[in-house]
Amino acid sequence: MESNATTNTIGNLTLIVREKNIYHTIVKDKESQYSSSSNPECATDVTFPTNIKYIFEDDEEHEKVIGLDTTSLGSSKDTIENVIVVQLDENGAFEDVDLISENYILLDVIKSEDTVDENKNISRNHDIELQVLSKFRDLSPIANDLPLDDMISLYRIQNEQIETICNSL
Amino acid sequence: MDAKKLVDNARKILVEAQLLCQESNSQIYTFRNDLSLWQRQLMKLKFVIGCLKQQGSFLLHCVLEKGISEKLIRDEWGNNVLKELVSEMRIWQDKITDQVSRLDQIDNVLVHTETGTLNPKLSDYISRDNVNILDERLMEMPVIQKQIESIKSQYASMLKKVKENVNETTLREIELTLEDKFGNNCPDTITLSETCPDELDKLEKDLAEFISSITEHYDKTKLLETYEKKNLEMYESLYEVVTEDNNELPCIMTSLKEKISLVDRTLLKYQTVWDKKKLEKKLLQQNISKMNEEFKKYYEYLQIFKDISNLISTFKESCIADIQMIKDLFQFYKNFEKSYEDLLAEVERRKLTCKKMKAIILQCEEKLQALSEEDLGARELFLNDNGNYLPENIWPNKIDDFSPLYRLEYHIEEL
Repeated sequence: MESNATTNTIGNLTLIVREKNIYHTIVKDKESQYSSSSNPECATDVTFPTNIKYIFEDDEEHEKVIGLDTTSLGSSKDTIENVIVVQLDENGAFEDVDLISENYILLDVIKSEDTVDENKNISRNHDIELQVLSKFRDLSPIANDLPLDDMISLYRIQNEQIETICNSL
Repeated sequence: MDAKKLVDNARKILVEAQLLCQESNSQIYTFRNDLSLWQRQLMKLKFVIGCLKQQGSFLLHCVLEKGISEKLIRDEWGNNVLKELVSEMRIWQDKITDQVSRLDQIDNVLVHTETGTLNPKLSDYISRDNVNILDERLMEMPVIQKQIESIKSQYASMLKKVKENVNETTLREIELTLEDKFGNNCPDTITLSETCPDELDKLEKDLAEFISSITEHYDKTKLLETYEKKNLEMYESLYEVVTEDNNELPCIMTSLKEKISLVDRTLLKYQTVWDKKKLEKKLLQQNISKMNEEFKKYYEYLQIFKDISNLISTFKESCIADIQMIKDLFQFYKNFEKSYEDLLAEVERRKLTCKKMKAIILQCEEKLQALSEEDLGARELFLNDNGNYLPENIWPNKIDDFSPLYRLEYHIEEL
């Protein structure tokens, strides 16, 4: 690499996992009923994965394996149950991301990349948001007192989520 | 046979064996990889079935039993609720009708009419546009009630259908199929997830052993080649072993080929199981899509419930608004009647006042007249005594003027 005029480095990789289970929508709506200001720090549906391992399959390819910290997403087990695999090519360009988990399904990936060129040193910054879905829960304890209109729209969202998974089978 | 030949033969066999094993190993590798992707697909399948189950129970217990049955049918459209509404509308309709007919009977005596025509009634002064509005609402009521009845029966049939779907037919079948064909106790599951990997591991190990024993032999032949010129004693003792092994090579190759054909057969065997599973998965997936379609269809039904619910609540709200309007109108007409009575009293009071004023004027007129007569008498006496001596122009036109000193003009309203 050093013989080249430019060098490529992988810049910052920001990984966000957003949980799309409607459970969080209901809880959030209920909370905002009681408090005027919403506090994003208390969001239950967003997490930054921790426990990162790097795997270099060979010099050309970089893979990061990230264990999703499940405690913030409602699981009490300490062991890693959810694995996010981020694949980058030799220039640090994003190639693919995958989620291996029994508890979550990857619905969608929203990614953005910007390239920073400092003294011919190109570094790429990635923002990757994984939209995942946890297993549907029994909603009756929190949804029974919702207005019918809300129930019906939650029902529709779940139908769409099921359809998304079906299409990926 | 000299060492060179033994080496050549060993090399030839090793290359052949390596090629064969490589081929087999890569087949095993691919198979295993595909199988692990397949296992992940199954994981998704189980995941989505879990979701379907929760969605079914959400639809059944939350949306239908809570949202529609309790909140709509029982609380919003309940017989008592509507009965109360109807009876309140009736009460206020009766009241307003009664009040208007009272106004119908009261003549407005303040307006003078030509002889032969009737006096106007108080009711002629009010608008009758909204008087029967509650009656009109009450006439719509049976339509609404019919709609409610029809939606109730639609609800009942939907509930039945969803219950069947979720508890007995589609979803139940999906769950049973999952358990039966892909569950942890299903023999095929055990075959593909435990037996197969174990057997493939063992086969890989066996192939590796073949390669390692052939490699070992090859190494020995190479060693033999080095001993050939340097160490005759070692050469001879090794030669025996190596030639023996060399003679066994065809036999080893035969069993290697057998092993490889066993790999083929084994892979085929599992492929058959897997193909069967793929087919079963396809069927299961079709059922899952079917269930998803059912759920989507139920969403359309729910929309209908929502529309009708909006329609009925709009109706109820307008009934309540109309009742309020009629209440206000009733109070207004009641006040109108009372104010008319007050007005009649007021007219009387004003008439009386006029009368009093007239009396005062009459009294005043009498007093003035008396004073004026007295004044005329006094003037006459004055003229008799002084008239001859006063020149006319000393107070022009006034000295012998007998017009009264006052003129009384008044006006009192005739009521």
